[in-house]
Amino acid sequence: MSILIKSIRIAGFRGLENIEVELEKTTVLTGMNNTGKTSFLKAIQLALGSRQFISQDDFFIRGNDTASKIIIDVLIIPTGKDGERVEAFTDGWERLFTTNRIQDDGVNSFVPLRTIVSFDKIKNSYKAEQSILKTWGDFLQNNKNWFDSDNGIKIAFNFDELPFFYMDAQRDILEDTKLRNSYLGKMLSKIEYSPKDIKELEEQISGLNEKAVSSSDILTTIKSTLKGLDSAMGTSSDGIEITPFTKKIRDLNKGLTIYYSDNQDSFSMEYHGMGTRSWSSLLTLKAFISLLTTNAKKENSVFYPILAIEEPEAHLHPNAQKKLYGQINSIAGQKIISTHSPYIAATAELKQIRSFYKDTQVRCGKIDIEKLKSEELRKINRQVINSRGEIFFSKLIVFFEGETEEQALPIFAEEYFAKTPVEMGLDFVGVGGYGNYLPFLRFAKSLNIPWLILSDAEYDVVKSVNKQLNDSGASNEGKSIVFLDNGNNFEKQLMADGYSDEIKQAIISSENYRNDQHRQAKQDEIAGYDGAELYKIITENKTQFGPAIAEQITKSAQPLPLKIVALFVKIKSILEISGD
Amino acid sequence: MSSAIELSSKQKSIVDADAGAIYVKASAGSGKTRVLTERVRYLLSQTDKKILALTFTNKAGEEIKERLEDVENISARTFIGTFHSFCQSILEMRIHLLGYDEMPHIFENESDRLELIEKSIHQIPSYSATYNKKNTKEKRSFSYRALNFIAGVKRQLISESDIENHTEDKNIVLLYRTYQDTLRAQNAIDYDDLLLLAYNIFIEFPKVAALYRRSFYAICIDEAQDMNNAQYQFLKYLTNGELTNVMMVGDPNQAIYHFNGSSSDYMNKEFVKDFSPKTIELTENFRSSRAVLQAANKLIPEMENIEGLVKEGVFKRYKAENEEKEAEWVVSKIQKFICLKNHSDIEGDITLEKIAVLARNKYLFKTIEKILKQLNIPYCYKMTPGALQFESKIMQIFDLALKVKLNQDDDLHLQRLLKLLSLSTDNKIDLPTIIERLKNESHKKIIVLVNSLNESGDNFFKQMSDFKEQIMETDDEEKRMLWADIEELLKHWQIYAKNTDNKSLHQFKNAMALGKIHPLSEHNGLTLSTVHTMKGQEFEIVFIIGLDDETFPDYRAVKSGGVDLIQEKNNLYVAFTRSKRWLYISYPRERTMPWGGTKTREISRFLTGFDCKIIKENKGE
Repeated sequence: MSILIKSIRIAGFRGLENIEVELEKTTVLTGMNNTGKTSFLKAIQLALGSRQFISQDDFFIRGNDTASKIIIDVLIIPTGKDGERVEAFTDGWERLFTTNRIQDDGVNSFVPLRTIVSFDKIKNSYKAEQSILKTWGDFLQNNKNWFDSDNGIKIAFNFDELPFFYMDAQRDILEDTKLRNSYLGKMLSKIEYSPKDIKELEEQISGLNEKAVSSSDILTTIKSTLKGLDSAMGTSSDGIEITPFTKKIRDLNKGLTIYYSDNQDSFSMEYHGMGTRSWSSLLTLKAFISLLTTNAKKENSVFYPILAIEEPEAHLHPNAQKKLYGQINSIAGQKIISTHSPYIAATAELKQIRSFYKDTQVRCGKIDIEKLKSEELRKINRQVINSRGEIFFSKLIVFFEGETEEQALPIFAEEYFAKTPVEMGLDFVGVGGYGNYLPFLRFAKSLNIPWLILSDAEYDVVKSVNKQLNDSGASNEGKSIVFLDNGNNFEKQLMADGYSDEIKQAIISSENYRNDQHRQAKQDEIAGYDGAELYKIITENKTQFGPAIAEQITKSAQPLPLKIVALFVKIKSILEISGD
Repeated sequence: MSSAIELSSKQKSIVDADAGAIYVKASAGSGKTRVLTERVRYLLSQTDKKILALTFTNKAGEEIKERLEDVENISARTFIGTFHSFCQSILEMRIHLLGYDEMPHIFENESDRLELIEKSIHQIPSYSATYNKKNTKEKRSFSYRALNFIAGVKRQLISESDIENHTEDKNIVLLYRTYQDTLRAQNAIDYDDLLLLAYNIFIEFPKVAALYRRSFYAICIDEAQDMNNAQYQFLKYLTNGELTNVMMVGDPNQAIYHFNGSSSDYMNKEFVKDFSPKTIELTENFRSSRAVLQAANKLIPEMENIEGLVKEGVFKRYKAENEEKEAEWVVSKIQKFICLKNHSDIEGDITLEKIAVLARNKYLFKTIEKILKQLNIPYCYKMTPGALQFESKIMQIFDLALKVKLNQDDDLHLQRLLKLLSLSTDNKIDLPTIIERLKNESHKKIIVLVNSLNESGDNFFKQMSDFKEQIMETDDEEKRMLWADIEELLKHWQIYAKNTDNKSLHQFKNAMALGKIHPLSEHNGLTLSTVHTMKGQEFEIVFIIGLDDETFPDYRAVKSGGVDLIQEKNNLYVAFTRSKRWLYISYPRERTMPWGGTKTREISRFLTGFDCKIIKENKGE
């Protein structure tokens, strides 16, 4: 029984001209650099957190025009036990928001919050005004943009129960221990002991100090020498004290050091790498939030922190990156994570992914889970995401039916482009049968990742692929597909294209031979195979022969298969258009 | 602070009562508002939900808010105000649910409504014919009856579509609809609509009603004897048998707003039937002191019940040599009280705000005003509460132009504005066009000013103040009037600005319309008031000056005698009972006439044979 920020609309902020992003309890933002992920996180901060950072540069610019104001709408809805939308807020949230902030359309309660940031000429500073909208209308209705709707009733919106935390990419636990306003610093400043504990601790420290001084000749000498101060000043107090350990318990936070040991040696944080320091910083935020959660529970108050986390993977080893999502997901409240990490994207749920991209303006894609059957979802998860998180960051995906292609195409591509597909952001994905394209097309389409299909061309296959293309709503029919020649599959096409010699070479090279004699005998035998025999061999063991055949073809003087070249021409044109 | 509040044990038993419905039958002066206020304070300590306190005047609401000022976060934790302002707050947030694009403007003036109804009458042929044959007086009375009918329908919470089922008279249904259409065309609603529309939201959107129901821990209603049907039904729907912490405080013998459709039956019978409240009677009288009420009873015997009086009080008479001496005595007495600082008769410190000087007419204050000015003692005149009425023509233009500016659909006031500016009527015309057409410079100037006002109100004070400094009027009287009007408006603005975080001209206008920000609601210094404008308000210490015969009673009443003289006696009685604790009355033995010379005066005929403590002149007590 909680709440959820369901949707955020932003206009006029940095690179975000006009965008709506729907949020989940945990949302993972993917997308290339400079597509507005950080701006999006900062925009949430404008609405729910500190606005001190705002400057002229934060206003959207197109051509010579600068936006005069930044508008951010936030939709908060009540949720039930399993995070589903429910009709009414709980008592606690109703008491917090009050009827002055809760709208109800007769069925559902919601809080539609608007924040407008503009420049106040009189005060020569930026001002933010917040208001509660009358309704949460459509993004675009009758040619009217959401931000042209009535601003509603002005009211403050600032609650300790709904705190906003921003973790930027430059976090460092070492800095945190020094800064009072870091989450760690804030927690340390709240440390409280009972008077009894303070007395005990300080007595122990005092004992430690005495022992440390009396056991050290150097310290004892310093102390007795300094006693001379007394006679110089003409006083006779116990003025000199040397305290190797902090004397007052309240100074605890000033000298705090954190050690982290990896089984054998314990190192101070200063000697750890940025990865450990960055992760530790994140974990202290987690600790801080769990502290606040406990306090809220104690006071029987509602509590829902909003966390914006910028690239949590920074400096971390892939294995650590794999655990990050789980760590963050288990923090209370709502999390919005921007990332370039395939591991984080791959561990997140599909519905939590938001892909930022830029065409005429910055937009955001999401996968419409509702449209995918659970079987389809499983296919996507199994075939792509579980093993290949980088797919979320792909610049172009080529889909095809089977394994031979999956093995062969990267080798052809490297030959053709003189670059590895990895370098190019090019991914080859076998969908596991010609009937399986649809979910993958939806996946690519919703995340706005360009795609191509290389398809077999048996009659039934062509019919089915075209239908799926149609169902996916793809409009550029034909342009995105390369069909093999009529009736062919990949293997048949290779044979038809006249690569029998290369196929024979591939088979020869992948056999195991007992001796030269055996090799010669086998080679002769293979040389004598007819087409049908060759086809049988390579289709029976696709994974083995895929790469071998591709290697033979690239090695030989023969040009690449025509259909493959046709595919690569398309790839080239797409990647060039997208600016690479 | 709360420890400083004196409560009798009876009062305390109500304040600390357990949750549940409570009906406090409180007689006059038994500390109704105080009990209600302290109850709210107590309830706030029992819950973290909100408390709804409904009153019948803005002033009562302000008083409660003021007394609770020390409670942390009080404005967020309560809604304290009239039924109408509560409904307004609901509508401002949610009227879109009823299909309105924005909050309509509230037509509060009777004259506005009269004009609208006349327009409507003309649109109904069968009425129009008979109406035109009537003389002015008959016309007016017909219009009033029509308005009353409409108000009555709204108070019955009958919806527009349902009205046919309540009357056979097709014409009157037509009239009602025409009136509503005319209002709607101007994007306006009238006062009764506030309640009706809020009620409609609750009926049509039960979840919204439930949202409000849940948001309040308890509801307290002050002066509940003044409730009308609409208010009671609204309340009943809001509580819906689920919110049972409802307290009504009222005096069944004191209903005053009968013309409003109000009846103490809603409190006395319906509430008792529907909520089965615990009934507690409050009979102790804290309002007046024994001395004051004894004096009042001497004027009109057996009017006041002396039983249950708690405070002793003072009643004294002073005979001054002349008006000058009388005024000097009053002022020196006031200064002494202020120095005294406190007294067991009077709760809290003795301040100028707790003292009033009354007289039969406003010219009697001339001398005293002079002395107050000399001594720099702050004072204010009490005025009639309600929406601000401008006296000067320029500000009347301002008022209309502002209405037109804020509501493009407001044809009614647009036509009135054009008439006042002697421009030919024109339907769709905006302020800039009016400015172009105007020849008269000072008219032009005020409209330019209105046109330049920002919706947010951020330049309001500056523009108005600048305008005040550059008044072009040549006629001294008109200039004086205009000056006073602007001062008054600025005063309203300042009160509004002080109490509002997010200002807007629109809201300011509506607040003025509801009389929410009348300067009266926060008076400073000593109060000077005529007996008539003081009705309904009380002060700890009251001086009544000019109690010489033919001043009070007024010479005209003396001449005509009969009912007029009885009325005068009643007026004096009212004046007496304005005092809660100490009452000082005085008169001069001679008066200076405006044309020179003096005239010997005798004590008011109402006061002869009064054996009250007489203050000897030379003792100067």
